[in-house]
Amino acid sequence: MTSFTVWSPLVGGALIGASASMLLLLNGRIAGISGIVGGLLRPEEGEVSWRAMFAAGLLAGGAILHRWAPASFGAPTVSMPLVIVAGLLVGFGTRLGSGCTSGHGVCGLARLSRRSLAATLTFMATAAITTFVVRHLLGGGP
Amino acid sequence: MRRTDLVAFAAGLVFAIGLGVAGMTQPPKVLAFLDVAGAWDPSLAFVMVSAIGVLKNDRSRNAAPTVTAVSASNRR
Repeated sequence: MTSFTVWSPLVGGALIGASASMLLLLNGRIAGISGIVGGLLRPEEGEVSWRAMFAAGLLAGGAILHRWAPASFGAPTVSMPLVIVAGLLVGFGTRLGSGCTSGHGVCGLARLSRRSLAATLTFMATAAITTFVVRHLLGGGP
Repeated sequence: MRRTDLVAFAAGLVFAIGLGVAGMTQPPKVLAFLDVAGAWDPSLAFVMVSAIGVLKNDRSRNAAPTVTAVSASNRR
């Protein structure tokens, strides 16, 4: 059970939007996490260092949260092997859909891309259905 | 170090802090957002609304003609 919050999501979302703005206006790049990290696995000339630095920034941000706001991560709800499998599935799925929540859901929707709208509606609906099946039909999951 | 690398690092850092502040790093919160048939917690909808609002506002104030070319070449 989680409690409804408004201000922290709004502030966090504003930071995400500011990050995407920074990357777009200063570097001319779309802040799609899956695409940025995916590009590291298929290295192209001149495309590696900024992607690696963005990923390093993400990890540094995670380290800062872990140090000064450990509650941001909460207690682990599933085992580590399951987390690894889930992470691999997220990576596979986001490349299959050529974008993730940040690329399609934030950057794509902000530029009124119909393709991103279709992608966002699809993955949100699919995630909700998956949650429904796992939690309410199978009675499993955290 | 090149300027684009510094910008990318700063953007990644701010993005991660934003995820944490928003509550998106807490799996129970994300699951509660997706669990529309259970104890639905719509909080995380505000994350997307806010992020899009900030990005859209910045974009309209700084018309960037390179955007379409960039997004076409940069598969998300």
